[in-house]
Amino acid sequence: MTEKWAAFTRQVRKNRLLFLMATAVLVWYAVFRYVPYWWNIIAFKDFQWGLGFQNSPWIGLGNFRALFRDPEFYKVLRNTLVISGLKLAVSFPFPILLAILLNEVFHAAFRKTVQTVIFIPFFISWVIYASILSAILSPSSGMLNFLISSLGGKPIYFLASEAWFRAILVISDLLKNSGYYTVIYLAALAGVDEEVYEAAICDGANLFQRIRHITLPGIAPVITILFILKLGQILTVDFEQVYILYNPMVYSVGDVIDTFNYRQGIQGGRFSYTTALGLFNSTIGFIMVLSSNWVLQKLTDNGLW
Amino acid sequence: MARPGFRKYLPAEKLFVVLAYGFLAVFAAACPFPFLNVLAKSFSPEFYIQQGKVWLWPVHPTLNGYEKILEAQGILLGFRNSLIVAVVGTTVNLVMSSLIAYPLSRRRLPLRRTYVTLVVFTMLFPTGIIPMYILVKSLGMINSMTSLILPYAITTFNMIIVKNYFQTVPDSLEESAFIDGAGELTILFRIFIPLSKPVLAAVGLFYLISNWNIFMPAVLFLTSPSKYTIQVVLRDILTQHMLEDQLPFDKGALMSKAGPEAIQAAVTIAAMIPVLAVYPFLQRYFTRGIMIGSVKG
Amino acid sequence: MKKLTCLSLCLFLLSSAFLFAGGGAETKQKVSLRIAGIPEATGNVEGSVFMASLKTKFPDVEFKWEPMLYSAINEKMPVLMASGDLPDILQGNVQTYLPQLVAGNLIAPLDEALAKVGKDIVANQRDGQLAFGQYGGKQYAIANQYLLKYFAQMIRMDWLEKLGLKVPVTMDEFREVARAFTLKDPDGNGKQDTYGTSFRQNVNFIDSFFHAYGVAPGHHQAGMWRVRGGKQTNDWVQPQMKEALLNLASWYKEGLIAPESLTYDWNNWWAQYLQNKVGMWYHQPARLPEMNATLKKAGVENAKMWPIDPPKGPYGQGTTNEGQPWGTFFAPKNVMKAVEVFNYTYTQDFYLASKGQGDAYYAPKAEVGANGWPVFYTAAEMADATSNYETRRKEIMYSKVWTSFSIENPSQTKNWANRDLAANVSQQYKNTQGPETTAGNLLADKWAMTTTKTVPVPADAKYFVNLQTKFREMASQIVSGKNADQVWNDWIAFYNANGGPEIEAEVNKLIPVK
Repeated sequence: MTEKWAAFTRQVRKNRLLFLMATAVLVWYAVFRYVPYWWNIIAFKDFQWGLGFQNSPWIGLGNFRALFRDPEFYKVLRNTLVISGLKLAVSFPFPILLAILLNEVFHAAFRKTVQTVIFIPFFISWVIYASILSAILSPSSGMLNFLISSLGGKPIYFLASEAWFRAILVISDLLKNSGYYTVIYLAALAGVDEEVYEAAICDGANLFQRIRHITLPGIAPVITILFILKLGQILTVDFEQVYILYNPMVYSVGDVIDTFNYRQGIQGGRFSYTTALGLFNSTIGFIMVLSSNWVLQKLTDNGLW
Repeated sequence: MARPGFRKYLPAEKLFVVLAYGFLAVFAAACPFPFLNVLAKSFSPEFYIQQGKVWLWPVHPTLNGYEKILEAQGILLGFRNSLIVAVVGTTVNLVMSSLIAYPLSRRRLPLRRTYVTLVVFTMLFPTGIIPMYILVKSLGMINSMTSLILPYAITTFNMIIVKNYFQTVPDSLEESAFIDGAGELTILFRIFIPLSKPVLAAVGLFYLISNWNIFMPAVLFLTSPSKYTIQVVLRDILTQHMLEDQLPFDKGALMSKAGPEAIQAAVTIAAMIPVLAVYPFLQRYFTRGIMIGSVKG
Repeated sequence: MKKLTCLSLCLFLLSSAFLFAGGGAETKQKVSLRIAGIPEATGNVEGSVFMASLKTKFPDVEFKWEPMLYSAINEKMPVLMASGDLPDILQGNVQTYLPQLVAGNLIAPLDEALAKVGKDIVANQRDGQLAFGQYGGKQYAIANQYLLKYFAQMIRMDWLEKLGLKVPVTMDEFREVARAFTLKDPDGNGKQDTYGTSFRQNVNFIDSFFHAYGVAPGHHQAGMWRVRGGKQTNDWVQPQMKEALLNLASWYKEGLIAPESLTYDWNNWWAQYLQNKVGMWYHQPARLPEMNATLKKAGVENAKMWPIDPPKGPYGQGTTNEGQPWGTFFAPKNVMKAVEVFNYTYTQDFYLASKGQGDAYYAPKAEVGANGWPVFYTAAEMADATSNYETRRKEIMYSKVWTSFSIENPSQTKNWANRDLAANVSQQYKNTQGPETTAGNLLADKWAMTTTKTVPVPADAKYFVNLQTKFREMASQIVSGKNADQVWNDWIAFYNANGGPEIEAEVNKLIPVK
């Protein structure tokens, strides 16, 4: 034991400035990230305004039990999982595809322009993006329905349709955020050595083989990390997007945990309930990250750490 | 990038490349549409927007929307405050992130795994805004710009990007620096940072964007209107109900002057301008920038 | 000698102590009052005439203006409440926060302060207005001068004339007219692009069509309670509500209601009107002059939206009063001073000092009249394109600190010493009302119904938002044509399982029928 301690102190002394640097910043983490965690205690109490934070009674897992007994909770949980799942299946791979395609483009000017252009929607907030979307999707005056009617179909009231709402969330998310992730993947690709490609070409590898054996492995670490992080957010659907776009017609498919939680909090602050739900989200996210990281690390030797 | 010339491609490969160009072109065409729509509205008189006639191009263009911005109460002040937060904030972000990314990237750091765990943990368990408000209040930072900078000095996701990039710097550089008698800070600032310009540019841009767009903390921590950032001002104008309260009343004006919709559009564009201006400048770093993990050889 | 010296020394010390105490009191620190209001966008409140008048009258007070932006009020309130950090004078939504604020001792009961320094506030209240701030037998909030009190059913008289139709009276007649509006091209542009009426995000801003069935969603679907059989009952679960929704569903099915309006936000809903597409409307009579003027400026020469009686249905007739959801709270720390300051803005002195710029809605002209009395724009001037009314109104609206004054309020001048001034204010009010607004106000006076649940109950915090969400969902579904029986039964089951009965019990206990 003392040998380990001696080794440790030796290491500290040898790297004391480094250690000091790290510890100093960790103080920042302690103050601005860990101190606020105290508020989560309220999830285990039954907060009442009359009693205040200190004197509100402890009820242990009572809030969680109430949550799990509420049919509305299961409804929003289901919606959240479905939407997250769809986004993971559709919007997640899409930027990867874009990056691979962009990587095979010959004209640098074309590549740079596309890269810039697809990044632009990221800058626009959902408040504005949504109002434009509703204009485009309008059954009476929107461009999309105009196209549909000219092709002989009947106009579809997209934003009020339970069948279409999820698709709209996924597709608009794709259009808005793909650029951001494409940039990350392209950057990772830029770290792949030229020589590997040259060697492959010498060996007679064709385009598809090069993509499969060099490009994809080149961004596999990034994909893994982003995938793990996305899984960690499986219970968090972009609140702003849903809140702006949803309406009573599509609550049954569009109401998600975050919008549900937001409404509970509005009415004068049901802190115990909303914090409990938040803790539930984070814990599930944490478990997802740990387990997916463990699995993927075993499989591919890539991981978060 | 190394590849044989297009002529030498097999037919299947040629088809692939052509389809790739097509697909990318279509997708790229769809993306800027909302932006162009907002841009068009910002230059159009109210009447045509109300009538739903403005799509990609301004109808009977006018600069009046932007003129009204310059006249409006609080908007210029909002820009100034946002600029302060953006510049000071991003600098603090980059310095703090580097100061922690560097030690965490060195295997010789004692307690490295613990520290990494502690840091990553905070990424998975977000901090509530209520305890943050109480903390900011007890530190006496309410109604100061510091409240928008200090509590948000590090975004762990961005910091990890920097850390992973630092990890790819060869050990030999570090070793020879030590032999030459350099200290930790010298190594960080004279070797790592210059080598990391690409990733710092990328991460800097991400930080810049979030500093510029900061909203909820600004609304909650700033109590004097003179301290409001542009997003606060903009959002408030955008959610105002009574559209009709601000209509230019005279018919001639309606057809030639900017109304609330146009003003909102103009403010949106104006709020984006700084970031849009910086972006292309930094973009060239991206292609060589972010490496979260990389393959060598 | 020694005794005398001692005595005089003591006397001297005592008197100087008194002097110091007295002097100290005079040179005491200023009282700092934090005022939080909800400004209309980011206006210049600190530099306004309103604020200047306050500062002049109360040199011993340091005023700190802390606006609460409407767009973020749902986030700001919980944060302020949780940190116990409420401003001294706070305008907020009484319906949402009152029970919690009281339970948490975050606001002060006002009875004592009102008795001592708030006489003008009390005298000024309209009938029944104080009840909207009373909770547990005490006064905790002062309801706002809600000028937007009235709503009226409106119709395009020019369209009726063009199509040769009479003003509809019954629900069925309304339907006939709506059919004509939808099918017979009343705007004469050759396209079938007009509608009978429009929603504002599901069954919003159409309460008149519900009162015809003896129920209502309530303004902004905030609920509507009536006394039935001696008890407080919730309109939302009465069988007549289902009938009312089915009526709307049949309208919707026929295409008489703009189909997309089920999901419209405020802007799109208003745009329908501006694009000359809607024939029936439900809104505030005060807005009529502008509404018509706007359409005329856009080229609709004969535009004439006019107030009429709401549709008469099988169980009733009526419109919904906006109610008094907003009010002013006072933090305990400086309640006496705060109420004193607040009270000042109800007085005649303030009216003159602020040059009438504290009015809740109407804008006075920049120049006061010959006798120094404020002069308000007349209805004709408001509708006149060449007057600078709009600019002026925007300027005034964006510089108010709170609304304590409204020339619309008949009780406004009850306490005022100068009866001539009082008469002048009434006259100013009459001048601001054009014929359409006067007609509308008369109708609103006749038909406006107010909820009998004047304040929230503790159970609301836990249940109300969920019930409101479900109500909206249910209403949209029935109107858009889903299986009404099943949707309605699900709604009733949800209501009973999610706090409905609890709320009803509390309302009957805490806000009993008089």
